[in-house]
Amino acid sequence: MNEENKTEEEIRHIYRQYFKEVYHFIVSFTNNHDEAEDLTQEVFIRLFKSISKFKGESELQTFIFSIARNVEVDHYRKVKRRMILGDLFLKIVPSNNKSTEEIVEHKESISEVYSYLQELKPSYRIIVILRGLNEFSIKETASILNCSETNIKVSFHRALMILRKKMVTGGDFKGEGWLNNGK
Amino acid sequence: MGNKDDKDILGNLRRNKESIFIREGFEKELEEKLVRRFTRKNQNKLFVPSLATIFATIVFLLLVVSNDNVFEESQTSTTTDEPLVYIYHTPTHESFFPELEEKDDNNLATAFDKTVNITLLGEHLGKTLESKGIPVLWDDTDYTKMTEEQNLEFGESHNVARENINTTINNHDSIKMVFDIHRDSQRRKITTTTINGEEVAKIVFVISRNHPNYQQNLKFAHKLHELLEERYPGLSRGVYIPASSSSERNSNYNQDLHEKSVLLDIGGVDNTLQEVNRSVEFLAEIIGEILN
Repeated sequence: MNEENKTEEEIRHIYRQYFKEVYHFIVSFTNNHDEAEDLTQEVFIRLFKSISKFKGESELQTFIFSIARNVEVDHYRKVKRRMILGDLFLKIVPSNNKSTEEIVEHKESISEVYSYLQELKPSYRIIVILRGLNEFSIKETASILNCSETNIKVSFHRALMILRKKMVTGGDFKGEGWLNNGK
Repeated sequence: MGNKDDKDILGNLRRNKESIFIREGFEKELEEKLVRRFTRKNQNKLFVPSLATIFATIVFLLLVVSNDNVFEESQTSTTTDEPLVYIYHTPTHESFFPELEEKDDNNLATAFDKTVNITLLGEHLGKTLESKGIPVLWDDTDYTKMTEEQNLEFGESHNVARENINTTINNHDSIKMVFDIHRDSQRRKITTTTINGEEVAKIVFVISRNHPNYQQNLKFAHKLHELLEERYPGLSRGVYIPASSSSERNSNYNQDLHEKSVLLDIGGVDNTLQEVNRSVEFLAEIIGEILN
């Protein structure tokens, strides 16, 4: 089945079934509604572009979330690149001192746990969101992130431990960069 | 005990999930967008080229039909009236998010475009001045493209343009003012104000201290700022002099070539063309006043 043949009804059906879960997943990761809207759109565009490659109804959910995960990773890299580019801009048009900080800081928090979540490194953050918020099993999480179940168990456990500490001490635990879990 | 805490954390996440705010209407908007995009593939194939054709026609009309005067000047530099004002852009591709299709509002690096860019604003200033009887030399040479072709860094466009600018200034003794027009990369709240109930992009005058005679340029910039401030309070963000530490060898903005050469930052990435056009109309009044 290719994309031209996807009927309007099928698209609406899939979209309605997964919209909320995907949005929740993304907004918990970015903690920013503007970005979340753009990224959610990106997830569904990629989904419907590539749905012809997808086989087997039972794993559609996993398929969608692995796309969402990739969109988040791409976005995260872009934010990092933007910070570097921001420095470049400072040199060229010297009067924009604040622009990079502004972009980084305009975030709004859903609740306390969510703001602590933002302090976790991205790979941990994704696992906590998938397991905790989207309620995926270890097995499902492992196949979305394309790594071993043991890896998920260990990382999930560590992530919760860090999160717990943060909630007790009020933050200040920095996690940086990507941990390439089983990639 | 750790286990119980973990459950608390997860419980907290799940409880709050229900209170995650989703902008009203977003779900529906996106649904319709997706349905349009993925069910009418064939129409799209026609739609995009026709849109491009329309766009190309508009650009063509803008350049040739509606304004052959400025067009000729920028190409040949031969006019009956010797120009009083010289306008150029280094670099040339700076654009505005609201005018772009392919962009990421949070990524400043996407606020650039080969055609819809700052040169349109220079053209508008040129036209506005000419309508006031002030001959203008508007140079839309694509210095960004030249910079790329010579495999130089983005910031080198001032250097790439230098020879051209020098020749132009030397060939036209009549030139009284030189404007290198840019937009800022600041966000909307910093670059926008309201004048007579309409939103207008703010202007910054940028002067480099990186050459011995910069005082002359500075004086001219202050004069523009003061006149604007007098007439349209709040429109000017003032005169900005980058710290010497940020001034590299290439960033005297070629202001040493003319004592009344100023770099203008008009608006920022979030302003619309309409907003920046309005502000150059106000600026044109001031320029006209000084020249008379």
